Amino acid sequence: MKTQKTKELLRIIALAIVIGMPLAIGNVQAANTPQLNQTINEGTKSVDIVDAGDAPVASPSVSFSAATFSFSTQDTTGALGTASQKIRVSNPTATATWSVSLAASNTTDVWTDGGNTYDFNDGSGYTDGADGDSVGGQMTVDPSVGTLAGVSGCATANVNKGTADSFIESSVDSIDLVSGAAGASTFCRWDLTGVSLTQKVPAGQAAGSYSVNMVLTIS
Amino acid sequence: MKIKIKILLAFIVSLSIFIVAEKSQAANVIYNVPFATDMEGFTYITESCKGICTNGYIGTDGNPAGSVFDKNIGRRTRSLGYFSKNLTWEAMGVPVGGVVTDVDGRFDARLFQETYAAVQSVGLKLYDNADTTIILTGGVDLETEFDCTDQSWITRNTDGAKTVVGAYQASSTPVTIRMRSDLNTGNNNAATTEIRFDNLYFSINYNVPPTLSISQPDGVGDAVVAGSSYDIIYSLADADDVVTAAFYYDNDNTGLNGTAIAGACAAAAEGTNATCSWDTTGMTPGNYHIYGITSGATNPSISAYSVGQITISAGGSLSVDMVDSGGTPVASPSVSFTSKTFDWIAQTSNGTLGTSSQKIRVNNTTAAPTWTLSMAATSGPTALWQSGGDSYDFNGPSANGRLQVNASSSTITPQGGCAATDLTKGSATYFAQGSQDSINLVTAGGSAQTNCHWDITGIVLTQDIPAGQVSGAYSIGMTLTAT
Repeated sequence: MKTQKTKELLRIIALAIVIGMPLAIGNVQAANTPQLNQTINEGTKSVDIVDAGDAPVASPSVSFSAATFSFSTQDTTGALGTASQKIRVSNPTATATWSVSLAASNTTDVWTDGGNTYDFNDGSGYTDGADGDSVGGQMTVDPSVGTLAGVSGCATANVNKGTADSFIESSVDSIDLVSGAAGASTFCRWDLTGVSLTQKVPAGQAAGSYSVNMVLTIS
Repeated sequence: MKIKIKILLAFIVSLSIFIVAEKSQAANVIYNVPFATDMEGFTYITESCKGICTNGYIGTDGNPAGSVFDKNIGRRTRSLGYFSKNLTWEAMGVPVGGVVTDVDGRFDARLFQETYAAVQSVGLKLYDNADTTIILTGGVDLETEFDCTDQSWITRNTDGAKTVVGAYQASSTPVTIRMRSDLNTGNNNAATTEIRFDNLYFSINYNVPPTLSISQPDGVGDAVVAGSSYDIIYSLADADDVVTAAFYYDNDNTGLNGTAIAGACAAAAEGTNATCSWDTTGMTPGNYHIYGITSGATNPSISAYSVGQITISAGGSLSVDMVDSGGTPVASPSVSFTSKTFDWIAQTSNGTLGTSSQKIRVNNTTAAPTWTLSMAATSGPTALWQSGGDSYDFNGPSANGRLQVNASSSTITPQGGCAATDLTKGSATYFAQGSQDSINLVTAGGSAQTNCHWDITGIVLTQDIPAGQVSGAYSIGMTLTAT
């Protein structure tokens, strides 16, 4: 299982790119007093998976706990955000509010080993429910147990971790991991680790190496 | 022995210096009347005559040939008169413009016959043009009258040179020579007395007046700014004395009623096309003639006006402005650095100080060629780039923000026919608070031109922007100064 970074496709449009004309100081200038003007535009908010050295991880992934074939249902767990694969939230803008969420590339995606599948967003849990596919299974995401740390001294005030929630096709297609509220620091970065992931595996799920692509999005 | 040698050498050196400093004395001319063939223009003027009086030229006797005679016959008779000639000093050989100072005279005489004893009186005199007033100081004779008793030719040269009264010193002055004869006879009806005169000799000392001319200003290209120096070019010479000339400025070329020029031009030395430097500091703008008056000569002073005028304009200034392509000052000049996007790491941004539409113009109309154009923060070294409440430094360490100014590749464009001679561009330099609060952009050396202005463009500014510098429209005021 792995979470694919697709920033280019899913990253929100930059809130505002202010390309302001240089602002003159109020005082009247003489002809020998040039004013030097420098415009620094806002950057674009982003979310990345970075390693311990803050370098982006090319192919980030989350390994769930291995399970043994069982005729009964069972759960596996994983942790999104580790020391070597931190969720790096960057807000190089003057806007304090933002939200980072986790979703599958497509709501109809399923865990698959190439032939066998099970669901990550079936509202019936272990068994197949009323969604479009014919397999059961459901993933629960709990950011509240994760660890939030400001980068380079950025404060975590008004930066809130999300609450536990489970994917349900068409109703809970995206789960918020962390968000910035009004008053949160701007032009700051934060690392989030230890987001708990729990996957309900249907009874009798054939052995295999399953994966499903997920996407982190900031908006 | 050694001591004597030293003393002798010292004397030689001293004498040498004296010779160099000495100027030739007054000139001299000799006017001689030999009466060799005729009366040489003389006529006899009779003051009184008793007996038989005759006079005139005699070619059979003279010293050596030809003479004039005065003869009287009768008992105790008297012939009183003089051989006279009216002529100017110039006719005697004094050059035009010369000033006669003194004259020494002598003459030859012979008592040709005095058949009965009597007392004679002959002498040489100089009178004015009207032949009424002696022109020698004190009214003295050139050669005092005496009783000539020698029957052979003698030269009468008892008196020395006599000073000529000032009013008669000009070379063009006509004077009257009198070879006076007071001839008397003895106690006999046939008594005869005859005296003959020859070789009237005049040694005339005169001075040549100094010459003075002023070739500059001639009115061509003679425009300066008050406060600058102007070289007056003149030629001053005097054959007799060491003279100087004092120069004046005048608002016209007549009357010698100007104002003295101080300094070197107050006592300018002799020379051909010599110069004296006139410091025009404090001069009221206007057009002025220059004139000079000589002093130090035996002769009266002479003067000369310049041919043309010098134009002095208002005192100059050194200024710097930012002007547009038409040369008009830009009310609010600015430099826009390249726009940057917020970055978590440090970055740099560039700007150009001096563009085609905002040129730095240095204008120097002072007399001093040297100046320095520099740039510093208007608010001083504690100034910051600011955007609202956000800021970063221009003169801190790189991490906090610092500005580099590099004029080395800038372009200096002289205006108005001027050149960029001796202008040096500044090298790349960072502002550093407390140690580099001002950065020189261009420096003008001693050979730079004055009354010129130059446009400077293309000064590269590079600002280190700190990591994580928040977005905004930052600005900082700078001031250009020319000193």
